[in-house]
Formats: sequence, C-alpha cells, structure tokens
Amino acid sequence: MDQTGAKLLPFYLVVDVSYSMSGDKLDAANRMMPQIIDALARNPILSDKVRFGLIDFSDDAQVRLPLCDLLEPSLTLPTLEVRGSTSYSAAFALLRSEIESNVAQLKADQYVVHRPTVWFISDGEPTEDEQTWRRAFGDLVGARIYPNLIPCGVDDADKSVMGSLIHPSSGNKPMALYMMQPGFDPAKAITAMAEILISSMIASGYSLTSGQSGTVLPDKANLPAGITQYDPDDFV
Amino acid sequence: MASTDPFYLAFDMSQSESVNHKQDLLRKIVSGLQSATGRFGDARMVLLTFGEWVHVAPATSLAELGQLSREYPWVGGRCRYASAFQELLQVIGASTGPRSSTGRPSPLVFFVTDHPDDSNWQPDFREFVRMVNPVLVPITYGFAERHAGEFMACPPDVGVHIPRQHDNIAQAVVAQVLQGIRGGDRVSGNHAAPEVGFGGGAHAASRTVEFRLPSGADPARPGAPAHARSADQPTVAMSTQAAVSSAGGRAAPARSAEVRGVGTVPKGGTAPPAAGDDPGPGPDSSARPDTSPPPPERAPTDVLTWTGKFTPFAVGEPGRSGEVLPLPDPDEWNRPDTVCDGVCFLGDQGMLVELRAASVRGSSHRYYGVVRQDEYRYRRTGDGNFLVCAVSDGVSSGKLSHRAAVFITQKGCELLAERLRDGGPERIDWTDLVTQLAAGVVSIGSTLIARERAGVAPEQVTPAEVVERMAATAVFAVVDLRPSADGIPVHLCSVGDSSAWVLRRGSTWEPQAEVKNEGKVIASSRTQALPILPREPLEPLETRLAPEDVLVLMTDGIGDPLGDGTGPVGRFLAAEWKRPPQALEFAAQVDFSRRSHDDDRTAVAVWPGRDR
Repeated sequence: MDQTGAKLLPFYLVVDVSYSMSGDKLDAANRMMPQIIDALARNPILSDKVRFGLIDFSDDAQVRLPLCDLLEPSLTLPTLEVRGSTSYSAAFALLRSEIESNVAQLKADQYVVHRPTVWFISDGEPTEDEQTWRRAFGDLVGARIYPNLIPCGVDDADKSVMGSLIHPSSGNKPMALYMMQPGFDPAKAITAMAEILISSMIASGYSLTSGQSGTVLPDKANLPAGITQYDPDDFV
Repeated sequence: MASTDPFYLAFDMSQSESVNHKQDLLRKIVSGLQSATGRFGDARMVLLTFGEWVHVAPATSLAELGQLSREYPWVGGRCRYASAFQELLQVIGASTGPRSSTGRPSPLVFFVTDHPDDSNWQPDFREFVRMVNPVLVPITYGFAERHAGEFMACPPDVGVHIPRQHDNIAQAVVAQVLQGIRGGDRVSGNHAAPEVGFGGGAHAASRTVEFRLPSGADPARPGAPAHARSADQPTVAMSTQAAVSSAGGRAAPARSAEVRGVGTVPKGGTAPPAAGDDPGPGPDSSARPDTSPPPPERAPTDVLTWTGKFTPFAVGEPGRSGEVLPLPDPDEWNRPDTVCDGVCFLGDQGMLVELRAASVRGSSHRYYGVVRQDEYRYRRTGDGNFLVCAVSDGVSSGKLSHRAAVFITQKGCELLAERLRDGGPERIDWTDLVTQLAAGVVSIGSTLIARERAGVAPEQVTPAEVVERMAATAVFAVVDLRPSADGIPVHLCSVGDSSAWVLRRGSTWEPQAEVKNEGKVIASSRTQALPILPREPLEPLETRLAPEDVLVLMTDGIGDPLGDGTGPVGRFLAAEWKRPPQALEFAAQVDFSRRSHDDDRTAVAVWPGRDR
C-alpha cells in the first residue's frame, strides 16, 4: 500500500551477548522485546509510527530482527544466545550500515523518517583495543544519518567508557547514560532499562505531534529503582 | 419448562467499520426486536456486546429493550471471538448451571459479527459448545464470508450470512432472530404459549432447524413468491449440513463454507425437515420438527424511516490510531473536539465565493485526552470588499497554546479587517500586524501564568516563560471580492509551518511557500511560532484564483500527509474538493485516517462562486 508521507520513528536495540551475559541477564534481555511489544500493542498512536530493529554483538554483530513493525502478525522474535567476547567495533560498524541502508530504503518508499534512536546495552568493557572501537564509534556518530545513542550499562560495565558513548553529548538535546547502581541485581537492571526505553519511546512518539522532534528521555525523577541517569556534563 | 429462559444476542461492537455504524445497527436491531413484543411476550434477551472486551447487559424482556442504554457500550478495539465465547460460557453457565446434568433446554445464542481479528478463537468456541451445548446461530454480515464457514465445524451447523450489499442488514438480523425464537417454539411443539429456546429433549432435531430469510422480510410484499427474491435482495443463508433451498429443494449436504442463495419459502409456507436431519433413534422421537406452517410472520416495519449514511474517510492504510477511544481534556471542557462551517458570500451578481472550514482534534490528542490546539476564523470586511481567513496551530508542548491559536485567528481577522478599511491588501504592513499579535499573545500568556502563581503580577512573567507555555503558528489570506477581470486576487502571509495552497483547476496542488521537510534526509517537526517573531521582515505572497481553482489554508496536520500534493492524500482531497462539499462532509474529509498522521487538523477552503 502507498505509504507516501507516513512518519516513522526508527529504534534499534543493541544487546551485548558475550559470555558474561549468560544466565539471568540473558533471560532478562530476551524478555525486553516482549515488554516493548506489549507497550506498543497498548498504544495505537505509538505503534503506527515506531519501527524496531534488534542487533546483538559479541565477537561479531548480527541483525537478529531487521527494522520492522513489531505488531506485524507474522513476526517471530529471535532468541538471544551468548557466543563470545565483546567487540563494540563490530556493533558500531553494523549499526552504521544498517541505519544507512534502512533509512535509504524507507526514504525510497516515500516515508518521512525521523532520527533513529539506539539503545545500547552492555555488561562489560570491550575486549578489543580501544583505538579500534573508538574509530568505529566515530564513524557511526559522524555519519550523515547519525543516531541518537543512549548507552545502558549493567553489572561490570565501566561508567566512563559507557559515558563516552552518549551521542549527541552537547547541543540542545543531549542524550544520557543509564547505569545500574553498584550491587543491584543485573537482570532486574536490564528489565528496568526496558522500562526506561519504553517511557522514552512513548514520549518521543508524542513529541512528534507536539511540534518537537527527536528522542525524548523520561523524567529523571521517575526512573525505576536501581538505575542512575548520567548526563554528558557528568563526564567533563 | 420455564418459559422465561432468555436467549442471547452476542453483538460484535469492535472497530471494524466505525463505531457509529455498529451502534446504529444495534439500535435498529433492538428497536426491531422491541416491536415484536406483541408476538413474543415472554421472550427475554441477554445482550452481550464484544470487541476488545465484553459487556453484558441484564436479561431484558423485549418490551423493555428500550431501557437498555441508547448508547450501547462501545467495547471497541479489536474483535476477539475468544473473549466473546469465554464470556458467553461464564454468563450462560452462571445462570443455568451445568447443562448435561439438569436436562435443561439448550440456550439459544445469536452471534452477530462482521469478522474476527483474533485467529485462535476456536478452542474457546469448542469449550463453550462442549460446556453449554447451545443452539448457536451465527449471523454474519459485511466481509465475514470467509470466517462464517468456521462456525460450521460445530452444531447446529446452520448460519446466515448477509452480504454487505444488502440494503437493510438490521432488518435481516431481526428477521433471523425472530425466526429463531419462533423456530425454537415450533420445534418444541408448543404453540400454546410462545417461548424461547428449544424444547427439552428436542435438541437433536433443533440442530437442523433451518433459518432462512422469510419472504416477509420484505414488508411491502407479503407473500411474495419464492423466486421473487433474487440478486437484488442478496441475503443468503449459509449452511453446511442440510439446508432447505428454494421451494423446499435440497441443498448439497456436503460441508462447505460457500455462500449460496436460499431462503425463499413463501411467507407462511412450509419448512420441510431438511435432509440429513434425522437424529436417528433417540429417546424422544416426538422431537422431530413439526411441519405444520408456522404462524405468519410480520417483519418490523419501523426500521427504514430515514436516508443517508456516514462512512469515515481513510486514505490507504488507516493505521491503528483509528481505533483510539477519544478522551476529553479534563481541564478544557469548554472547547469542542471538532468545529466546522460552510457558508457562501454573496454580491450583487450572486455568489462571489464559497467557504468551507473545519478544525478537528487529531487521534493523538484524542487518545491522550488533550485539547484541540488548532483554530480558524474568517470574516468579511464591513464594506464587503474582502474576505479574510486565518488558520493557526498551537505548539502542543505548551499547555496554553490553543489559547494563542484562538487569539491569533480572532484578533488577526479583526486587525486585518481594520487595516483593509484604510487601504488595499497590498498596503498592509504584515510585520507590524504580526508584531502586534505576538505582543497580544505575551500579554494574555502573562496574565494566565500569573493567575496560576500566587502573588505574581503579569508584568513579572517573562516573554520566555510565555513562549514555553503558549505559542502558535499563523497563516492569513485576504481574498479580494471586488469584480475583477482575471481571477480573484489573494494575498497570503504566514509564520511557521501552517501553509497556503492553491488546488489548480481542481487537480494540481500548488504550494504557496516552500514545503516542509522537502528534500531533507532526516525529518523534523520543529516550527516557528508566535510570539517569537521571524527574523526577516514578512513578505506577503500574491496569487490569483481562476474559476476552477480552490484556495486552501491548512495546518501541518493536513500539510504533512499532503506532502508535495502528488501522493494519495493529494489525489483524495483534489477529488473530494473539486466542488465544495457539505460542511459536515468537509469536516469528515479533514478527519481522514491515515497511518501515523495523528496531529490536529484544520483547513479553510475558498471556492470562486459559480455566479462570479
């Protein structure tokens, strides 16, 4: 059907599936997509506009669910499984090419595409040398169609490494980092990240009608237990 | 047996066409059943309306059906057969207890629907059938053909489908229900006291009770011959087992979901037992259908006393937001969801121009219970020489923005009319006009904000604080109504993304300024809005309307889906707005559904008059 002019809000969930994620954490990560689907099913205003993609990464990165309408009846959700070490550069490179080709395709199909939002979940530090993943990160956020990137750190993730992934980190609409508080249950923290993601998605969907644009983060005062929000200023 | 066992009418009230359409249909059905009170004095009905969830009304006698709310509960949303059958099981089970042990008659259930949205309802259906052992009569209409057949996998293997072309679905449903009630009575062999339900022990026979459209469903032609009902009255019955086809002929006994014409036994005619109907040796062979003529049936005559029909507009895929429950804004009870106008302006020679205007709340604001933030106004100048129009879109991050929109359109029209007294439209200083409006917005905003804060004077509220809470776009048009040899001169001016277009010769959309987001890779919905003043002095645009042209001012609620005007929305509006529609129709067109386009919408359209 001719969708000329239809507004789209693309979201990508990028999940670390290195070996350290096994157990409860992986189970919690696998429950994220059903949580998101439930939220979309309850909100027709949002679900008309949201497209969602799922990428996992370890030694390599894989598109587990190409950008799609999560309420498509034929959709089957992939199951995430752990598989190796932690390469951020693989995740960033795949994200960059996915975003570029997805947006190009949607534009060709006459959609009006708003800036993609990336939720990046990791439970540890990258196991590759810093220069490699920094370069890949620079390519991603330096691209013409750069995403708004919101890092979410759980368990052993390093606050300053994760904080450096916030993008944009300046301007009138900076993004933020969500970190699990030390000692909190990492699986519960992942579930809480999904809640934050959903609140942000609802607010962003509504803001499209509000004459505003872009990714809206939830109110700092209403964060779920166990999570702290850090703004880019916190890392200067 | 008790003659007061109710029958059940399960009615699909999901959002598949429009809720108004279904409410209307149910209202007519209930009114039709009510009018049959005289003949079925003891009959009581339990009404279940289902969709996303189920609402159950208490058992009500036909005479008292009018006491059911006039606004039937809109359960809305998706049509879930599974919930409907679960609830039927609950309701019937609760009122009568386990069926098998009591030997009570099977409950009679009419299931009226157009189509389901769930795919896995069969287990709940089978459970319902197993527990309740009902006589279930599916009555499907509209697009349900392909689903109606699925009921046939269960008793009583008889159903009715009313195709969407049928001219009176309500009347056909009423006829089927009355036939069903009476049929139960007939099968029970009890003519003395009309009762509902099928006689005890008669269930096996009742399974093949044939529901056909009585020819009397056409009240104007009682006793019309069987073959008189043909393609022009395309009600058809569905059956997979034995069915009586026209004039008592035998239909194919094979199980199939195809739709075929049946149902044309002359009024008062005989309904022979259907083939394959024999329940076999049973405990009560007297339960066979009585083949004596049923009492004459008079279809209700009070259901066709009006004309007209409303179907909501949709362009392409309507999206899920078409299903939202519209909520009021609790703080803004005084502001309507939708306003519209249709007027013409006359001169000495007849009609100069025709105007249509509508402002409707978008599905997003309906869903979230937020006030309509768009507004329009128009007026003719005192000397009759000009028509001025204004459209404004309140920036919805500001809670008070709709007040800015009201002020800008109203005051804007007033100021324009004043200035046009002193000279032609080319002499208007637009920058000055807009500056005056911006000052007015700040003044109103300061007062409103100060009122919320104890001990704060309006002068203490800064313009920046006002902008946070209250901002709106503006587009103005001055239409010259004076006689002119080559078209109607129009002056236009705008701040922000509310736009002016000319639909040239009723076919091509011509933007009167740069189209928003045109050529951008990543879209944005930021816009300029008063009281913030544009940096550059405002330059008005001038255009002319030829006899076949239409001037349209609009907010981005329409502007965004219109795009550059060459897409499906452009074609839709061009086709509908070649000539001025009725005002309410115009509003319905402005309110069209299209996936992802859920903003408030406002349009003011001006057509050159026919007599010009």
